[in-house]
Amino acid sequence: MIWHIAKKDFLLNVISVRFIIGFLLCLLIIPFTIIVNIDDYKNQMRIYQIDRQEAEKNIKETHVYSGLRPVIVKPPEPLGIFCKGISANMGDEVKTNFGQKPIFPEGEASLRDNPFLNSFLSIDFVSVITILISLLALLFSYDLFTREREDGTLKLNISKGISRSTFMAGKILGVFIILVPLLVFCYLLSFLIILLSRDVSFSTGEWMNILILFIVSLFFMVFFVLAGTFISSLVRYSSTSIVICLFAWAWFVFLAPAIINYGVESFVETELYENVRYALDEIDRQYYDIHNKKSREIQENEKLQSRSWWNANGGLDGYFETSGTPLEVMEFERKLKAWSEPLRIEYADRKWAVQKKYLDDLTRQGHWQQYLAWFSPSMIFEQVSAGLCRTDMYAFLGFMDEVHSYREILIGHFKKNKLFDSFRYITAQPLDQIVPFEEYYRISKSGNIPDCWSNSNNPVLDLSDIPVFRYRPVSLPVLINQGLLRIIALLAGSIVLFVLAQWSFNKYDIR
Amino acid sequence: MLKTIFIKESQNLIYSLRFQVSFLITMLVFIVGSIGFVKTFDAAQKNYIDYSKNRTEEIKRLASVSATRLATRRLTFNFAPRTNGIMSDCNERELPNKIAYSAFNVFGFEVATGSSNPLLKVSQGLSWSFIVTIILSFLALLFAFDSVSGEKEQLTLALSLCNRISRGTVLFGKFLSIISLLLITEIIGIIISILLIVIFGSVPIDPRFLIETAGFVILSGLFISCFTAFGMLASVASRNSNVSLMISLSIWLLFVIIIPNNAVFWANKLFPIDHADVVDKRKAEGWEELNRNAPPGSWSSHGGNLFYPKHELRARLQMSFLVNDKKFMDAYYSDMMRQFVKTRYFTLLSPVALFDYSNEAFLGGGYLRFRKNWEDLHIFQEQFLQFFKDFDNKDEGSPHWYNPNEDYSTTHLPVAFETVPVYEEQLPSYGQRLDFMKYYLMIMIAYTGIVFFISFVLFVKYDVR
Repeated sequence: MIWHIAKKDFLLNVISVRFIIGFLLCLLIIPFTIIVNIDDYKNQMRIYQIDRQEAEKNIKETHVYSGLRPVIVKPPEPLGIFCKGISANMGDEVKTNFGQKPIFPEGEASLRDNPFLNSFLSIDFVSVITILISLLALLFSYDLFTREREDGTLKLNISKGISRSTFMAGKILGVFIILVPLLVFCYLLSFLIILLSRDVSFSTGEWMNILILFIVSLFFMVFFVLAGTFISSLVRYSSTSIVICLFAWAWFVFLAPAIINYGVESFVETELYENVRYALDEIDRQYYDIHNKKSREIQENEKLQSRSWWNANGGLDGYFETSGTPLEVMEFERKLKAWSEPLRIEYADRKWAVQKKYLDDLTRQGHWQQYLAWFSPSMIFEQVSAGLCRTDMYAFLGFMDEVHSYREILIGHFKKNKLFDSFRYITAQPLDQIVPFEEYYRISKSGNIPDCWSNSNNPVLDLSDIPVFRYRPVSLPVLINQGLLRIIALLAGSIVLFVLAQWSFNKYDIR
Repeated sequence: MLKTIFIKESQNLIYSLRFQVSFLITMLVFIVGSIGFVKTFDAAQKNYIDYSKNRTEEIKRLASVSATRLATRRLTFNFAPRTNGIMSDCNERELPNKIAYSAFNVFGFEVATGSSNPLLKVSQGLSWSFIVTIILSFLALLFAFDSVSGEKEQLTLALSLCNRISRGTVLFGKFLSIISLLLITEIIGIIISILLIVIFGSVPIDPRFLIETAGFVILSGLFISCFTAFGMLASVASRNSNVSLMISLSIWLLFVIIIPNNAVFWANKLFPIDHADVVDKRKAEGWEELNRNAPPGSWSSHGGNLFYPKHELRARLQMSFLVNDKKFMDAYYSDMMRQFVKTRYFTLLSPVALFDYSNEAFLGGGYLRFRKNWEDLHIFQEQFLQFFKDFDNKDEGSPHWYNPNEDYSTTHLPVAFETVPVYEEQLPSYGQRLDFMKYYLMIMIAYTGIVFFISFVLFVKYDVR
């Protein structure tokens, strides 16, 4: 009997306007969204490859250890095609500076060349599913009982001896057998476009992530179908039911997430980053005060009258490269770096205390958002999806933890091999060709400048023993474990709604 | 007769469940949004005061070291929080809101780190604009979708038209009643919001704020009219209210979600600009060329001797680098702005975009504010450079070889902070604001008029049986 009722509803629904318009909306929006996101991924991949090549080129062209600060380029997440999460807020590269620990990946945010375009929001597959499937679930279930009552068929059915439970089960099944194929169709359509595009490919593990995402989407859909069923069992008229359902939809999908996000950003305070930067600048100034004092001290000890460099390049994070510089100055610079670089690392730890506080505030906001998301099924669904697609807060924090560990390993390598103390830290000029002041003046006046007096003519570093960063994405079991409570919450919510709908329908006045 | 219809329709709506629920939800969002704004604004204001102090301290410190240090230092100007931010944040958290400059150049702009928490998914703030574009637009369609088809189903439409009353009057009466109720809801919400701001907040409610509030209400009235017209169109386009509802929801999704959320894709496809890496490559090629052609010793320096002859070469090379970068970057920035403006034109298909852009212009925020600061900073930079050159010229111990990046060959004398020009933001005038928004406004009025006219034509032919 359940099947008969479900089949009747299915046949009625399949020729209804709501199904046709819903189907058309899916048919138009899903492919377009997937195409847009594949295009976005393609652009991210293009920039990733350029950044990676540039990082590799730069590192291969490094002449001195003071310039050796590997840039870690994070590959774009292919699963981001389904759910972008917070990936649009982040850049793709992190420089392993010794003088300051990185907080977030830098580079073009969202990998958009034009920062003005950041003011336009963008939508992903999961957002479309959140909006459309929840809407369709409510539109197909809002009149499950009210329409039958209004048409007079409800009492007819019940009077024929069909139990209310059977009737309700049949009605719900009828909605499922129209919506599940629609959801499957959305996923299949996106798979088809992905497979045809050739710009993106998934590993077996990633297909498993998508399978789990599909199952979670099913749970999400079930929640809204049962919410519509419950509302239908509470009221007598379809017109009342649709109004409540639409308000519930707008509330859960648009308003609750907006209120939660805004509330979190308003009530959990954070510092303005510019002020954090000023605090960091102050620590830098303290460092440079000590640095300059020590510099004068070494200069006096070395009895160095003046500092002159023939070819000198300097830059961020203690980068200093020189060639053709007199031996006395070179020795001075070496001693200064041997002293200043470990101190720079120590000051980086001091700066990290300030940065960490800022990061903790941001993370606290993130955690509050996660806690409050329990009030909105659409937020729960989006958070589980972002977790499965490795584009949520935890994925990025995990990545940054790995970067920090790598930085420590690299510093350990420099210390172990006494690289800060070496001439190679500041010059690639062969040591036997570094000349004292007198010779330096003679050569520079003669105009016959040796090739090795130019930084670019000197040999690059041998990087064979330098530790290399390896990115390890989080595995599926860990991701499922992270999102398990939320998945259970969606299911528990559905069960509660089912029980409430059953209880309410048992008392429903069928006249 | 119009008055009778208006009163009848308004009464029907007021007693309906949908109005009561929507009124409660709207008020709730107004209250939460206002309390949230007060907290956000206070925190942002405090942060900005700290930032301003830090910035002043930085300028003072640099000035006390030397005028050259001050002139060559890359300073930043961050946009202050707007007091009318409760009306709309004008996307200022996502738009470039930080400009870097020195006496020699306005280098560029960026979205300041921490404008919004990067660990949170980007979402809109609960400003009045959010309430209008998301909630009231939805309500306008929800109130209007069955205004004709619903009455037809209940057989009251034929009854109404049995009276000596024109169809135009019926349609216009319904149209007016929906707009009025939504506007009254909005105005009540705004009054509550202002009261909350006055009670809890530190936002000054001055005549300027009230003028902007009045302007906001007028603009939102136009926007609500537009969505109501679409709702009526959906209603007269079908004989069944279920179909009207589906059409209305599709229209809402199209205008509120789909068009605004796909702008970036169309921007890149229809109005492509060079990628940043291409521009970087051009800049690097320029650098290489300049470096290759630079006389030997152009990288030489002497820590203690300003008049070291090679410093002139060094200054000349550094200045060439700056000119090279400026040439490419200024062209690139113009391309970015052009692409952005064209993309905005594309999104004008949606009344939400029309409302957002006109509102942003009227409030003097968003892109208009950025453009004004960008242009003003260029003027300021020239004045700042002139100030530096005048000061440097007075120092006989300076060789006057202007190096935009280093302090090897210009004055090492400190400069009195009080004499240093400091950039201050000037708000766009109302004339500028109106000029910026006039086309958006005209399009929105035309849009509403056309949609309502089509609804009228369809209603004239509507089978009321």
